[in-house]
Amino acid sequence: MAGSYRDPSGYVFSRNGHIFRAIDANCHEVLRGLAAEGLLAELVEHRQVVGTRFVDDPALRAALSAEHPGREHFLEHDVLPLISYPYEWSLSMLADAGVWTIDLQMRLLGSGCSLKDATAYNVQFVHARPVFIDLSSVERPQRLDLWFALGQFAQMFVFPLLLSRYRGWDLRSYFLANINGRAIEDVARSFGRLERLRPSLLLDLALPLWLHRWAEKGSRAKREMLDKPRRDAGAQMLNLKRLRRKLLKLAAGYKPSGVWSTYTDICNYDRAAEEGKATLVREFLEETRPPLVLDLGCNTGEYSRLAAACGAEVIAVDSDHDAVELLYRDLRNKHAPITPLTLDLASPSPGIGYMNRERTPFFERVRPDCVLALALVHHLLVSANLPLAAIRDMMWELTSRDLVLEFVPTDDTMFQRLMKFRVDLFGGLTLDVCRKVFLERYDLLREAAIPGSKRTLLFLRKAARNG
Amino acid sequence: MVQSVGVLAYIDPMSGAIVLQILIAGVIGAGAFFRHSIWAFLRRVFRLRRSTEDSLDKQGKA
Repeated sequence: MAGSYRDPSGYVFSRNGHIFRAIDANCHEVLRGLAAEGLLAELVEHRQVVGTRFVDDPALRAALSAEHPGREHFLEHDVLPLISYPYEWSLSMLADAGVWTIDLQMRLLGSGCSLKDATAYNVQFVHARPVFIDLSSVERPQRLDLWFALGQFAQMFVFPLLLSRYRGWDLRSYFLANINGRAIEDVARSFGRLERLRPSLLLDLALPLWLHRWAEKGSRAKREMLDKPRRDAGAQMLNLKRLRRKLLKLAAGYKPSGVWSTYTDICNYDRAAEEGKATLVREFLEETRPPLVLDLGCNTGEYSRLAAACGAEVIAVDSDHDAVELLYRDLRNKHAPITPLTLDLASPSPGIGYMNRERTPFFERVRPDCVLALALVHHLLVSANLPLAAIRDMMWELTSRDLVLEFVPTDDTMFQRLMKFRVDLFGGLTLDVCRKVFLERYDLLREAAIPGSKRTLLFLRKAARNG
Repeated sequence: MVQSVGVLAYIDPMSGAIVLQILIAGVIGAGAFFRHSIWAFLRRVFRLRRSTEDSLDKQGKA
């Protein structure tokens, strides 16, 4: 896989729809040791680590060795339903991913092991729960009293949370611009000299910064100090517990607001119309039973939960970070097979990293069977200035089969609100025009006016023709 | 028994974080080492204070 090249001791590849990881002899020994203790099985069972099995079948091993010369040991991982990246997460998701990493590190220390790296890309989300995926990151170091990867942990988890909470940064800006996290010198520049001395920043920003400058001058920090055997992990455990508390506190202290979180309050639906719309959508989903649903503009997640109740895996997407944050917090309490993500549909996550292929664009990572575009099209038309044909083509690329589109007429109060100071370009936008544009590339399965409102639901299926 | 190997350090460490952890470990280690002396010192301080309070009490009652 394009993103799996940095660690010399292992890499991930795909073969016939299965995911394998090639590991070297050292890594293999360490993992066998953990498996013997039962720790590996326990971690997989509690969903802390992605499902993993050793490839023991000799025929398969021989085949893989032939295809991957120089590698003799392989693991097989469960295939994850969705790959997402830190720039698509909300604050609490990042904090939980960090806490997960710390928890795993603490468990491993109990067995004399440690994580080689602490990148946020080692964690994936399965249904709003973090899962660790990089098994080849486990090693047995000489020194257990310090964590070599702590600097990287700070860059990947602590700094973005500090910048988001105290300087109003968002995760997308942080991670898209800094694939390895932001360097401490640059982060410190966002805070004034006096401000860095406040208790919440002293131990994680100011002190490491001073020591970093001191150590870099005349290379006082020597490579050999890492190989001194120290078996007592007590100091590291204390520090990890402190960091864990801090991450949780930073995320919990964030108070989401945002325009769309209160959307449903100002929406012009009455209860009956809302229920009518929900019934229509539910009937369609129960009839077609799509395995994977993408809910665009999910807001509070009402329709995501509806789709999940109809037996689907759901990816819930919204451009408003706070809506995603609230949905994620809600999912922590009331679990459902939904993964919430922050995404601006008009400018979705691009490909970044090596050759811009290391971390693939969002549109290449998802292939849902049904896309829900409810209460969305007017936002794309007005706020994103996308013409109707462009919206149609984008949905065509996204979905593998169905599209549920809610048509919003121009005299709708929300539409009017979005158009308040703009020139009226939508005079000619009627239901007939919309239907005509979409039928160029879709078949109309059903059309239903939402009872008690002026909006209409169009149930469309992707057709082979190209308009 | 798996042999501990030298750490496979392929990521760029923050030397500041490494040094800070060594310092913290040193402080905690030193604290543990001198725990007895620190505790003895504190006990002496408290005993001194207690005897002062006692004498004041006696004076008050008297």
